[in-house]
Amino acid sequence: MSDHIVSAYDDQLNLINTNLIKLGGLVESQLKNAIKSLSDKDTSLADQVINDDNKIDDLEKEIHELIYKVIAMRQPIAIDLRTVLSAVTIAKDLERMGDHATNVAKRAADLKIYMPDSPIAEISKMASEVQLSITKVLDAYVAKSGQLALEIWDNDIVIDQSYVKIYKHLLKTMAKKPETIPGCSQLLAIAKNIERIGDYVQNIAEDIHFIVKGEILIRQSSNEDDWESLE
Amino acid sequence: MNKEKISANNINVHYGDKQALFDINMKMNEKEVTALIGPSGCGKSTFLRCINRMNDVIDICKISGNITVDGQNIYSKDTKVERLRENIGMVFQKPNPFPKSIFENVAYGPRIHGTALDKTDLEEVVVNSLKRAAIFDEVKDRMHESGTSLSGGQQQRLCIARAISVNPEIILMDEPCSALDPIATAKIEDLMGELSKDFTIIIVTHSMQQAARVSKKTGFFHMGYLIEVGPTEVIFSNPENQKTQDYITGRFG
Amino acid sequence: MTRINNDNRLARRLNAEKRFQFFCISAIAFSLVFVIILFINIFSSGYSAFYKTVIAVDFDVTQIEEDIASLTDMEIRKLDIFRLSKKTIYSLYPNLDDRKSKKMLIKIFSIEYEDEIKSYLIKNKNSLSNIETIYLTASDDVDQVKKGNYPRELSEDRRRIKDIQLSFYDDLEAKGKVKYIFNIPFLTRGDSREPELAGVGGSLLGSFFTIVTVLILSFPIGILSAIYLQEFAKSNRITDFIEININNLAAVPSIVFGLLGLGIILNVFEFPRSTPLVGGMVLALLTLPRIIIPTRAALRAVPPSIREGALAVGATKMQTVMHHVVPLAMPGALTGTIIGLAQALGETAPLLLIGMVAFVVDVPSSPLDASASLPVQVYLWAESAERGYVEKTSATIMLLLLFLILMNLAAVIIRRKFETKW
Repeated sequence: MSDHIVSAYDDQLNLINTNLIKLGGLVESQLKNAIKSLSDKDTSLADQVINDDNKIDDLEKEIHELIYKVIAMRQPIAIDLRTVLSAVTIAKDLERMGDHATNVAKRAADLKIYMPDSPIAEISKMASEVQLSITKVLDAYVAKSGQLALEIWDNDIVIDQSYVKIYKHLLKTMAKKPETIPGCSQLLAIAKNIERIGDYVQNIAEDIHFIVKGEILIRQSSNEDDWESLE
Repeated sequence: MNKEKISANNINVHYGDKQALFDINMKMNEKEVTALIGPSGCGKSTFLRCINRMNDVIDICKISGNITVDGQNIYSKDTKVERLRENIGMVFQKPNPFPKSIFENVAYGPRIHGTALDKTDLEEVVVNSLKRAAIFDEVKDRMHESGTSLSGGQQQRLCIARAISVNPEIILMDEPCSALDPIATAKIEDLMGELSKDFTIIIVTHSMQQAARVSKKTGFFHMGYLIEVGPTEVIFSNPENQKTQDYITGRFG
Repeated sequence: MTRINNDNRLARRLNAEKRFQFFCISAIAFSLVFVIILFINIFSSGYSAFYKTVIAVDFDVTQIEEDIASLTDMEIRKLDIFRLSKKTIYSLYPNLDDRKSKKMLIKIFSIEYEDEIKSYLIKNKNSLSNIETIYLTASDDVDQVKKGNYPRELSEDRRRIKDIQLSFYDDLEAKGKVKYIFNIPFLTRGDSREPELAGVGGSLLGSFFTIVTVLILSFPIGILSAIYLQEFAKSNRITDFIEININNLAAVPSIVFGLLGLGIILNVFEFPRSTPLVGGMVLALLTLPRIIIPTRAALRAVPPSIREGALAVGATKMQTVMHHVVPLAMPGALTGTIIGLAQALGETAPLLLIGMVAFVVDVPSSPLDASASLPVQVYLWAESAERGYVEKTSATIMLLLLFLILMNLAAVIIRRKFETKW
């Protein structure tokens, strides 16, 4: 894509881009630290994650202001309009992702409760898949690659399936050893938060696809059949 | 979906040795506004002037292909160009009222074509044209003052009144607002909306925002070629051609 | 650092500008001085032509047998009062008896004294008393003495006027019988061998008829040609050729047109010689390019937006040109025409060649009568020996200049009046 004739326009768009990437990076490290605090049972790390959530909120506000300015001053149309409007939703989604990472950290901080190790390991595995997808979606955003966005969008089903597996496992564990219920319910909540992060990544992938292709992706039907096998 | 009014078929235009338009095929529908956009020198004004055969006055201009209005080829040998221009009015970039009175400016067309039956009829035609061009209220007390004593925006509306005084079906506008301030521009855009209920309007404009605001269909010209033509919402939100997108987002170069 | 340099430069530029302005103003002042000198020169030598000296005589009406009041003008003209007129003049100095002195006395009057008396009788035939004081025109020499132009101090054998005539004049002057009045006949009469009787009326009318002929011939042809060449003719080699030729014609010396007139109009077509009609035809050829060129320029100056506006409304080419372009070009075209006519008014050489130079006494009554024109009259009188013609030459030049100024003024007024803003 060639540059705008008015270079100040490109400068403004680039600034939004850079800040979005920065926000993404912040979210990535928040999630990484939250999972680490869980697996290492590190309460101080968990506290750090909880405090750092402010940075995410502030950056998201800054990005919003930049976007309003561009719309008012440049009257973007076509691909520029899609880029700029999508940046609003992407920033919002990243901020929510940050909130969920913070929730994980909050629950991980509560280490008095005993949480069984094997679900934690599974959760860590799902979390690293989600982390990978965050990295990929940020790459797709930078590259404005509709193809990559489509792959990430399709991949969400894998994350959903991982979550269902963990859910079933935790249910089984709670049924077999009732003393693990408090711990496992915390883990359930943690897993849910991570799965939600994955959903937001899928949203961002949708937005990227819309920017590039101008088409909206239709979401697949929900995987209710997976739930049925629980019976 | 309005029915087709004008159809340009394989239009090629040469100025001496230099070719200005390459194989233009475009259809324009009746009673709606069609916009022609593109960078300077892309041929959109040349194309517009082919529609009412104003290019005939330029000796070195050669046109091949044909343009049909309601199915009739306007480049055929039996076409009387004065009758054609009675049916297709034109408004120019720089307002050019005749240096006569306001009344005379609008009365001239009906006079030479003999479309008014008598003096009262002529006065009625003039008043109606001025009303439809949304300028009557501003000039009704000075109909015998010179047309050139008006402001730019008023002069342009006077020219529009002049164009519609002979009851054309089609009005061509060649960058009608480029010499006007934003308020005068807005008034004319508003007028265009009203007029398009009764007239087929083709407008050449440099302002993409204007094209987006007023037109139903847009054609994008570049270096003499018609790159893309389609509904305005599509052209301005998600055009098919990369060049079109580059132009409308200001990436050209 | 650079600022100081710029100040120096600026001062030099301003000084150069002041010097340039000074030179321009000096040039204008220089030209104006010469124009003023010219005007003063002509005016001072010419104004006296509008006055003439007259001497009073007492005419005894009763000496005429017939009753003047009952006679027609023709009959009065036919009266023989030659001897009576002479007697009237002799009666100024009744004691004069030698023939030579009497002859000298008669000679201080203009030769037409008998006719002047008759004219007086005709004019006043119904109110005549027994003795009428009639003012008769003085001879050219006396006229010039009165005007102070005559070299009285020369010895008698070196001048025309004799001492005795001078004594008559001085005496009559002392008696108050010499008057200095406005010379109307100068403007109404034709040329004459007698300077005191010569008038510019013939050449005035001659010029008038010539200019009218020029106008009738050159204006329509010039304007219509210009319109066709500028608006309708296709741009090709032929029209380029025509344009070059018209431009060159404007630079051809006017005498060449005179030759054309002589060779073709007079010799081949045998039109009447020396007439304003032929003069007008020759000058019309001369004036055509001077009308065509400014008219074309005026047509070119009409902006194309006006033409487009008219064409777009469905006007034909002819309607566009006639209803819109030509009216806007008219001020320029008319100015060009008037200036062309003013130049034609002052042409001499071509008229000399077609014969409008013959000594013509009668005032022409139509363009088909032989006559002279104002500049030709200037040329003829300038060649004559008599002192009396000097003032008349200058007076004619004054009249010529007056008409030129009036025509140029008319051009300015027309331009102002018809100028429309487009």
